[in-house]
Amino acid sequence: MTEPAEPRDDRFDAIYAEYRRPVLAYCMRRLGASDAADAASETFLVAWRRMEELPPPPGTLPYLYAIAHNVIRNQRRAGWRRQRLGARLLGLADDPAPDDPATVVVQNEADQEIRQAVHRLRPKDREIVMLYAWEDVPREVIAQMMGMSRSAVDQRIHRAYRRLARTLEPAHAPSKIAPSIVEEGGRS
Amino acid sequence: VTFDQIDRMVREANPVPESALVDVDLDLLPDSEWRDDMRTDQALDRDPVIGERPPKPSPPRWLGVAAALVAVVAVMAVLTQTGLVEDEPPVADSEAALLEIAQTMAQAMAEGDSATLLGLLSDNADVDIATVNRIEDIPVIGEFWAASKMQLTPGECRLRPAPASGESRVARCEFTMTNAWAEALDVAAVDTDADIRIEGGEVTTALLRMPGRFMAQTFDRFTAWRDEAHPEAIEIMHEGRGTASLSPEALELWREYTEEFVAEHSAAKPRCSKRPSRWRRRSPRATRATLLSLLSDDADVHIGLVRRMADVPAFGAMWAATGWQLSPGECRLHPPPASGSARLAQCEMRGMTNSWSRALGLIQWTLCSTSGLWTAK
Repeated sequence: MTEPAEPRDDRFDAIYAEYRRPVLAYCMRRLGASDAADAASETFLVAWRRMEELPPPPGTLPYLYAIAHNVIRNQRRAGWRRQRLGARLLGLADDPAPDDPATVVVQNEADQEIRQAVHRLRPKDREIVMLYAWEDVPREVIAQMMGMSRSAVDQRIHRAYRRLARTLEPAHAPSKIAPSIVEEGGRS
Repeated sequence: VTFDQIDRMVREANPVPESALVDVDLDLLPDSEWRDDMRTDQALDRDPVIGERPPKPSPPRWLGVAAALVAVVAVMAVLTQTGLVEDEPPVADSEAALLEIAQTMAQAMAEGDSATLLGLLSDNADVDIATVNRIEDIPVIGEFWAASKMQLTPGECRLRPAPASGESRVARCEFTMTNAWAEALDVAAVDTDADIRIEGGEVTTALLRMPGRFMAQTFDRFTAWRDEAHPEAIEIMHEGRGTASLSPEALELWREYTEEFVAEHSAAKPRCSKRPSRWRRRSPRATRATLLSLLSDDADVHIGLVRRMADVPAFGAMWAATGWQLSPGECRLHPPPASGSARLAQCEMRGMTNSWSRALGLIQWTLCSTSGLWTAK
């Protein structure tokens, strides 16, 4: 017999329904699909435990990203692997088939080269670039998440992009990215 | 490549675009199942992220609180405590941290480690490291070092006194510097230093002092030779600027002409081998026998510590004991004297050194031009 849902559970349901995809995507961009399922489920597990501290929108998703970031870091450090709950919670098989939409990865070679270049960035720069370009987090929010000023985020994105340009064009002398474009503030 | 172009490329390379998950079934399991799992898991497992942190006071309930303010405060709080902002050390401001940055920078300069240099330098850093004076040239600094056989040996770094105002600090790092041109011209390695300005954990200035005399004796000699031997290369190697161009084409010319310059100048001077001399590799017995067969019975000898014919049999042992090394060079026959049958030959003995000079750090070729007088009947 199912117990009546409590307000806490209701709120969790709503949060999970709204953010399960972006959190899973965040994890998948940093891990393989099955490990990502584990990490995403762990993220929501932590969120459930800390429901009272979970901020309302627009802070909810960055908060969940932060939890996921730490879950992934711990997962990598400790060699922590699967939780069966994760796969069940997220409805994913332990070993998704290659054509499973959850494993969709653009296999374009050029994109692969760019992704590898992104992963070679310094850890903090990499996280900022991923949050900015892949999670589409506004720069102001990234600044809050990373504990730095907005201009520092701008500089790091600029510097990281310049490094990517150098990496992707090794045969050419690296070119300066027009500062005026950066100062426009990008997409945020 | 513009910022927008790179931005578009990175975004298009997103390994998990939003559209990828639209059709994925991520619905919750039935309430009873996942909630039971949650509770069971909560009871059995320690939270890997927050389990070891001390309990914190409950924040205000989210309902009814101004959304934006709470969001910012809460996100900052959790990020600080859960360590997202601790992935890398905070901006360095302690003297130890500043010195570490300076030493890492000095080591990277010495090694031509462009990746480390780019990681340390700010975007608009002012750099002047030997002939590398544009940050855009940093990625090929290692190639230029290889082309010119630049050898920078880093020494100690010291922080200069903190300025009365401003947040930047300057470290002065010592180096010993030489290169292929200096070695080819027998110009001794020179001591120099670099000023490394650090601000906000980044290096904003890196200036390696190039001693004028050393430059005049090496770089200027090389470029003067190059201007005469390969005048067509000037434009490529300098691109109209006073210092070096480091384009791929120019780098190839720096490498090629440096090798040519070294070969030409090394051939013109007495060769002072750094390698153990052939003399030392000979067996003492063979050396002694050769000497005894060549010397007259009453020969006047003065060869290092061997001053008497009676000591010649002990020659090899004595030289081995004292670690003497000599390499024979060219011999020239002096003009015949007006009278008498004796002829005089002057032979170069190169690379003379011994255990004492090596122990004292004296370089081997300091005495390479020594010569001996030999008489032959």
